[in-house]
Amino acid sequence: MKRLVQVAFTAAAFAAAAAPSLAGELPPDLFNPQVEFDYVQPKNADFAPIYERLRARKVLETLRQFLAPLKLKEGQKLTVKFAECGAPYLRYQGQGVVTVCYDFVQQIEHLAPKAPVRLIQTEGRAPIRPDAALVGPVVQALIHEVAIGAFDLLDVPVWGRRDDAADRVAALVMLQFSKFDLAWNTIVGNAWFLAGSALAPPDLSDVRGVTAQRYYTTLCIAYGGDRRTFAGFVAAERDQTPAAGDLPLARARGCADEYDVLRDGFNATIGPFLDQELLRRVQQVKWIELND
Amino acid sequence: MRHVTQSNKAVSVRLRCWFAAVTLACAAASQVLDPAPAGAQTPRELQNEKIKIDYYEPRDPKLLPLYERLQRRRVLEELSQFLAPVRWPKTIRLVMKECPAGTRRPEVVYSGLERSVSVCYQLFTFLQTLNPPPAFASKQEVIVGGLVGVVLHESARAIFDILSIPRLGDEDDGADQLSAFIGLQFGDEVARVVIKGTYFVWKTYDDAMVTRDIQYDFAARSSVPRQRMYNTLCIAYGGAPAIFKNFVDQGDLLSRRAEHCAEEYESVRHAFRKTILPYVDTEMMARVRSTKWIGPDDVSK
Repeated sequence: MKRLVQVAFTAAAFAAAAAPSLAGELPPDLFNPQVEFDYVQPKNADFAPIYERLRARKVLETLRQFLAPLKLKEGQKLTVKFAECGAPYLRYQGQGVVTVCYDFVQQIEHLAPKAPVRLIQTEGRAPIRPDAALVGPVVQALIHEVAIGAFDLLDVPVWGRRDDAADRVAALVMLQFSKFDLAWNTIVGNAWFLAGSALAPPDLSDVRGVTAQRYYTTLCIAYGGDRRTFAGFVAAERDQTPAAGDLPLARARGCADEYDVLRDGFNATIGPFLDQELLRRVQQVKWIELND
Repeated sequence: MRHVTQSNKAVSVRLRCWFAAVTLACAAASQVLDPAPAGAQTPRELQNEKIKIDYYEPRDPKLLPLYERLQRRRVLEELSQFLAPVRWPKTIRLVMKECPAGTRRPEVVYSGLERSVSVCYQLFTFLQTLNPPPAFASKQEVIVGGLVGVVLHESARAIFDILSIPRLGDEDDGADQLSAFIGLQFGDEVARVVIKGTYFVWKTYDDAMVTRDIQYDFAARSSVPRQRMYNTLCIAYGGAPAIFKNFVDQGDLLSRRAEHCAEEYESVRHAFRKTILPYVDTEMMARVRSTKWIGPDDVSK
C-alpha cells in the first residue's frame, strides 16, 4: 500500500448511521475543541428515529475526537450538524457550519441491503455488509462536508469543482484506515449507495458531478491508492470479462496518477494544518465496529 | 466583479491580424492567399524565452496550405503572448502539427512528457464546421474564441503540471476554470469571444452526441461536454455578469446554478491568486492585458 497520506481529519467511520456501534472506548484525550456539533431536532416525524439513533450513537461526538489533528486558525470554529433540510443536500452556507441532512441518511437506509451482498468485484474480500452500506455513505458525507468547511476556513485553494474535490478528499481520508478493514468497508459501502442512487436522471447543469461520476471517482481514488485491495473493481485485474460497476480500464490506468496528484495536493494545502503526532494516533484507533 | 478592470486605452490591434488569419486559415485551405499582416511581429516585451514555438510540416499534402498560412501568420506566436507572463521554470513548447487519428477532441493536446502544447492542424477542420446561429455569434467569433479557449485549456494543464500546482479536484475541470478565468482578463471583447467560442465548441460536441444518441461516459476522468459548457459559462457569468447575463435570461445557464456562479468565480480567483499568481510576472501581465487583442471590427466581418 502506498505511504499513508498526512491526513488530518481522517478516517473511517465516525458513525453508524443506524445499526453499527462505535468501537469500545475511544481515547478521551483525542478531542478537538475547535469542533462543535449539533443534532437539530427534526420537525418531520419520519426523521425522528434517525435523529435518535445518531444521537444515541454519539456520531458527532466521535467525529470531534476523530478530528483531533485538525488545527484551525485561532478563534475559528467548525460546526457540524445533522439537520432536516427538505432535500438530501444542503449547500455550504459559510462561517464554518456544515450540515449532513436527515433526508440524506433516510435515502441511505432505503438503499442499504438487508443481507450481505457478494459481487464479482468483492470476490476474495468481505462482501458488502448492510452495516457498511449504512456507515460508508454517512462517513463519506461527514468527511465531505468537513472538507468543504475546511477549504473555506483554511483558505485552501481548490482547482476543480468544490464538491468533486471534497469527494476526492473523503475517499483519500477513508483510504488511510486499512488497518481494521475500515477503508474497504466505508468505500465499498459508499459505492453501494452511489450505485443505487445513480439511477436517478442526471442533472448535468448542477455544480456537483452526477452520481455515476462520483461513484467512479471514488473507486478510482481507492484503486489508485490501494490497488491490491480494490483490484476487484477492474476486470483486467480479475482476468474476467467486464461487469456492471467496473472501473473501465481506460480510467483505471490513470488512477494511480489521480491518487498521487490528490495526495500531493492534500499534503500541500491541508497537510500544514494537521498535527502529525495526533494524526498517527488517530490512525491507530478502531473507530467503528460493524455489527453484522 | 472581475479580478481585473479593463483598460479602454488599449492600443495594439495585434490579435486583429491573427484573428483574420485564423478564420482564413479555417477556410483554409480555401486557398485564399492573403498577404502577411504588417503588424504581426511579436513585440519583444511580450516574449518569453522559455516558450519555444514550432510548426511541423504535415505529411498530408492537403494540410500544407494551412501549415504555410498559420506559420506565416504567426498564430502560435500570438497565442504564446497569453502565456508569456508566466515564469516558466522549464521550457514549454507550443507546436502546430498533424496529429494521429484518434487524438482526443478537441485536438489540442498537452504532453507532460514533452512539456508541449500541440495544436493539431485537424482542429481547424473542426472549427470550420462550427455554425452558430447569427443571433448568438458570428462564425468568426466562435472559430477564434473556440481556438483560444481550447488552447488556454491545455495551457492551463501545462501550468498545473509544470508549476506543480496543488490540485484537489479534477484536472480538466480545473483547467476549464483557469482558461475561462484567463479569458475574462483581457477586456470585454476578448471575454465575450473566448467564452462564446468555448461554449459553442462544447455545445457542438454535445449536440453531436445527442443527435447520434451517444451515451455520456460518466466513468471517464473528465466531465462530459454539456457539464463543461455549463462550468465555463458559470465562471464567465460569475466574473462578468453584465456581459453574460443573457445566457441566464435565455435559459442557457439555469438560474439555480447561476445564483452561485459569483461564488464559483471567487473560488477560482482565490485559487489563482494563491497558487499561480506567485509565478506570474505582474508587469508583463499588465502589458499583455492592456493590449487590445480583439477589436469590434474583428468580429463583425
